[in-house]
Amino acid sequence: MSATHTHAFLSHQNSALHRLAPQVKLVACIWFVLAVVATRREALAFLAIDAMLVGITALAGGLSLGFLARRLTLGLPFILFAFLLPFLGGGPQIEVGGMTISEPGLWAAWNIVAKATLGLGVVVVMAATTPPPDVLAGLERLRFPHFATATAGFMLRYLDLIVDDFRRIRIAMASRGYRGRWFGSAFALASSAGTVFIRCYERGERVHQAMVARGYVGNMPIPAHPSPSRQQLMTACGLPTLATGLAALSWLIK
Amino acid sequence: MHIPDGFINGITSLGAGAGALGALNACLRRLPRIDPLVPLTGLAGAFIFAFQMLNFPVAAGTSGHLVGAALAAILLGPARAVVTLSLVTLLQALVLADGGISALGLNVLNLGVVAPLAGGATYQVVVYSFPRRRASVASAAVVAGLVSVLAAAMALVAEYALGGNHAVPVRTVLTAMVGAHVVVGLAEGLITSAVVATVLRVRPDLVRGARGLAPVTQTGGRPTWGITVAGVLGAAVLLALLLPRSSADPDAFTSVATDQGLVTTAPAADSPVAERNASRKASTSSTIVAGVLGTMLVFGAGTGLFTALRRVGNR
Repeated sequence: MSATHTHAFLSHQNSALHRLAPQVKLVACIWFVLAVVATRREALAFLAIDAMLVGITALAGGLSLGFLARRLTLGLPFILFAFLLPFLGGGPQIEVGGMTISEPGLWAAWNIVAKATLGLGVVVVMAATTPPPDVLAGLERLRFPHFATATAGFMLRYLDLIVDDFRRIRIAMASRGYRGRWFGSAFALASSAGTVFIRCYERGERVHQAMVARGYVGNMPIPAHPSPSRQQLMTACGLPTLATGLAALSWLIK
Repeated sequence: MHIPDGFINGITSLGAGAGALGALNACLRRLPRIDPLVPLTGLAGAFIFAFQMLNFPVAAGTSGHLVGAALAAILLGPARAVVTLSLVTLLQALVLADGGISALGLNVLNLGVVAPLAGGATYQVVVYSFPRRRASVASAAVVAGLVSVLAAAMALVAEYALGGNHAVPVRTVLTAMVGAHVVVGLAEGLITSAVVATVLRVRPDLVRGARGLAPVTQTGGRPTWGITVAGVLGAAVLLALLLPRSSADPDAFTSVATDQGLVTTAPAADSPVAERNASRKASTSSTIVAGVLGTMLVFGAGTGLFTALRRVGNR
């Protein structure tokens, strides 16, 4: 738990990718992931090209490949299940390195690992080049309901504060001898979570009163972003268009 | 656990996304259009977000993390909980890269819609079947936490059954998921209950699910027949839908018992229930009859037990 958890993914630079309008980045990112998911899993070469595309995009955004790799390992626990598939799966069995494993299980595992990593990669690049408030501004531009983006804005703005609240309580508990090694001590954490919830709610009430005092009538101001230029649109569409072409090719050439 | 890209096929993901959007829309419509809603829901969402980062110790060195769906449903009410958790899941996908973008609909459906609704509904049913006082809240919260986690896991299994690459049989996934999530869910339930109890002690007005409950020990109110009947009917419908699919082969327990020679006596051949064990190809109708009878039996036993407990408690 770090104080700057929400911004852990952001890389403070000023590349062309950073300057790209957030709504364009969001659409390109979602489109790319859908194209990758639609690619035939047996088309190893095409998936490799997709991976190279993600790598090139990361470099274009001023991110090093090491940065990308480190961020990708964070996704590892989520695809852990995939590594069990070759051992649990049924169907024809093949021998790999002295172990008998299931062939369909191996393909299923490959499918998850490859596509999850590619999807994660492109989201990591987007998250690293787009500050979280801009992500919300992008969603707003894409006609997301204002209520949802405004609420999500509050979530992001106060998240660090609340994580800090939790951390302060933990430090206070640790300094009074709390060790937290067995399940029973989770109740101590639970009651501190209850305290944090009350603080959160009271903070929300105070924030709302302060907002009303400053003329809030139910709408948050939307940060102004210039409309994307034609050139920006062309650049952003390049990546997903290529991936879509690869996906289509993977089904045509078997 | 957030679903990554490539785990469930596109059509199922799209369907889940549409379902999630529909449910989200329905919940948004139920929210009052007054303005404290935005900052308060935002702060509550930030709390749930932070709460999910909170690891708690399970046993020697290992830790689990919480979902907070039942907690949100009890503290904020089901509609607001759905909106809050869906937004948290969306932000986690876009800002923290948790879960796949193509699986966003699935994740929002499981964690943002199914979990809080199941937790909230369970909480309501349990809290109203107990005497209507605050002491009932803690026990209802335990059950709600357990059910919310199990429901999310079940939703995932259902999605896997519909659109997963069936390298691993659905039955294996089901067994593994239920097994793991009963433990996780119990932990979630206990923590949920402890958090709710703390808030109830300090600011009882903030616990939406405890409104209208008497603060001091009193004799309970009238039983709510509507909810009871709806619950039993719901269970029967679920059984009718799920049992024919699930009973194609004997369940894990039965097969283990048979393998180990624990079950040797066949049930009386003339009862409609018999077919479930006697034949692997049980007919659908007798399976449903067996399921409904089982539900009634469990319902009757449970009601009897709780009535007896209440009598003892009131004495």
